[in-house]
Amino acid sequence: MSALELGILGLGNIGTVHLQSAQRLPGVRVRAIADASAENRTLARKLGVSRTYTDYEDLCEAETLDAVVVALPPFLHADAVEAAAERGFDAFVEKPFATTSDEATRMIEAAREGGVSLGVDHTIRYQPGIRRMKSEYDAGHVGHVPLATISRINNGPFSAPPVSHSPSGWQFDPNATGGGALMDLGVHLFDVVEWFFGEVSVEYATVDRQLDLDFEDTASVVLESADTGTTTTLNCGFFQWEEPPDVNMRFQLDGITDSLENSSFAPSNFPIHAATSASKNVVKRLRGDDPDYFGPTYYYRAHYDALGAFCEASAAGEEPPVNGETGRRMVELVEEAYAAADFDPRE
Amino acid sequence: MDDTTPTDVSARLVPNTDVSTLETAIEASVSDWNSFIERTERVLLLPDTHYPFHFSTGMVTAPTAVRAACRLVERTGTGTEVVVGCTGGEHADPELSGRFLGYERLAEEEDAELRHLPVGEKSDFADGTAVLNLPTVRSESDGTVAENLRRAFGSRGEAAAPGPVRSVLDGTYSYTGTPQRSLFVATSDDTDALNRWVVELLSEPSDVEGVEPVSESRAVSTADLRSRFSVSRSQGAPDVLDDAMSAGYRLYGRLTGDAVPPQFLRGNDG
Repeated sequence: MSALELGILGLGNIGTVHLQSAQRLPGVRVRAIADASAENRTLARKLGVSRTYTDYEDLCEAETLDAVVVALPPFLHADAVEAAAERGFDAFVEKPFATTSDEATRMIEAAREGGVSLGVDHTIRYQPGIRRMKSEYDAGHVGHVPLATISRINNGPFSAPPVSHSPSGWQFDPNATGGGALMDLGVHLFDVVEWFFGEVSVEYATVDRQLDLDFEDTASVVLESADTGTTTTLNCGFFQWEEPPDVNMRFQLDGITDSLENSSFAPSNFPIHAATSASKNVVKRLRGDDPDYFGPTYYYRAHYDALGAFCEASAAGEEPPVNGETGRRMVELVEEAYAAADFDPRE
Repeated sequence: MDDTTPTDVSARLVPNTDVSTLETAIEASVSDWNSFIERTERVLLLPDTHYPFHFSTGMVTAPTAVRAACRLVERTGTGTEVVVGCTGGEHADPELSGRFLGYERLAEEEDAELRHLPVGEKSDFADGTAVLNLPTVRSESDGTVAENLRRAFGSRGEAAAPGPVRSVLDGTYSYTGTPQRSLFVATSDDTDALNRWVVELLSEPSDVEGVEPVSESRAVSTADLRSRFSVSRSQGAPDVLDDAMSAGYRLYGRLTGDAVPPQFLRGNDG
């Protein structure tokens, strides 16, 4: 069986994670990358990709591919998906899927006309701790869950000290990003909540700003699931210093018989985990085995698994597990939350 | 460190970070405030705006301290104009940093002029401009008092300022590797003395569980002030650790075939 030929559109931080993942996924070959930055194209060549383009349109025009990874800024997702769909390439799109639900509909229509499938990198459901919680919950080990809380807080487009880079201008333009913390982080959390509890409704939302930004860097939303009767409080924010591998992502289920939280399944000491995992990988390599990819970092593995699931579906001609409709649904929930908070970041 | 407070440095604890509290504390701290403001047509306020950190981190000046200074000038001056200067820093341009830190809004609300003073560029000032330097209290080997003046006026710092300079350290929040709600202001007529004092103040923080709040603003000795700072939670020099980790991770990646996280990818391995 021939390899799935892949192009990577955008080689910022998350683009490099996808590139390295794709290079290690069985049955996948990275043919080319596109990035406007010369430094990023140099990095691609250093990572073993010789075919590089400045413009993703040129890549799509010139290359014969099966799929692309769209790791461009959100305001370019729609155009990139249309370019891919016109040429019959499936597309794995970074979150948020689109900057508006109308844009998401346009992307889904383009995919339908092109006969291609769309996947979305809603990674959090692929995190090991979240998967464990899902198994425990589905097995009924905590009983009915009346209450849940989920939160994701990082430093958004800013640095923790020592500052090493200037943030990009587009990151502060809500027309380019689709919004603030709700659009960038909330989309992930909405996806996890609906994955666990089915369709939710936005009961209440509030937003705030800790700095004088044009969008919210603080948001809180209350969701209700009609299927399970679960009320979830969702918090997200761009206001806290974060240095990977420490990641502020919390999910707690308060069930009738017990509570579950994702931190129970994560390493209690990341440096020790990293050292142990790295040592095991060295041993595996000495034995001629493949390492546990992204094992020492713990969290990046979720991106490897999410891309892997998409590539497997693409190769089989099947619908990806997290598809364009899911991506659109998450953007719709963000828009509902903004409406409930009486806030429009684009104004 | 010598716990004796230098005679040319005046420090005051404050009970809270209210604008009115800080306005009074700044006025009480600067011993020659009246003569300073009488001779001045225009005061350039210089907060630390080197990056849009939240003020509660202690990494930059708290806008409430700047607002307090605006109101102090307005109350005690005779039609004295107020200019708020935003320099930005190496990784943040002055307009972006000033806006995100709230100084565009502050200047409008306090009827002050907002000036962007890009680092490395010479800015012109009208005659009769004095400078009220408002640095934060942050662990910095060269001292934040001098650092803030160099950002605004170049390597010569105070010597290149357009007029007389008074410096008031905003210690409402401080950063020693750990954020602190330290609730004090400190000043001196001698910029170098204040700069040396703040470097030494933060050089040996003690290990405290919490800080006893004061019910009203009062003078405080250096010894008492030092006892209010917690030890830093950071371990080692971040730049050195990051470079070592990056190189180590890239080597590990080459050995095992594992992927390298993006934050460690961009380095020179020779």
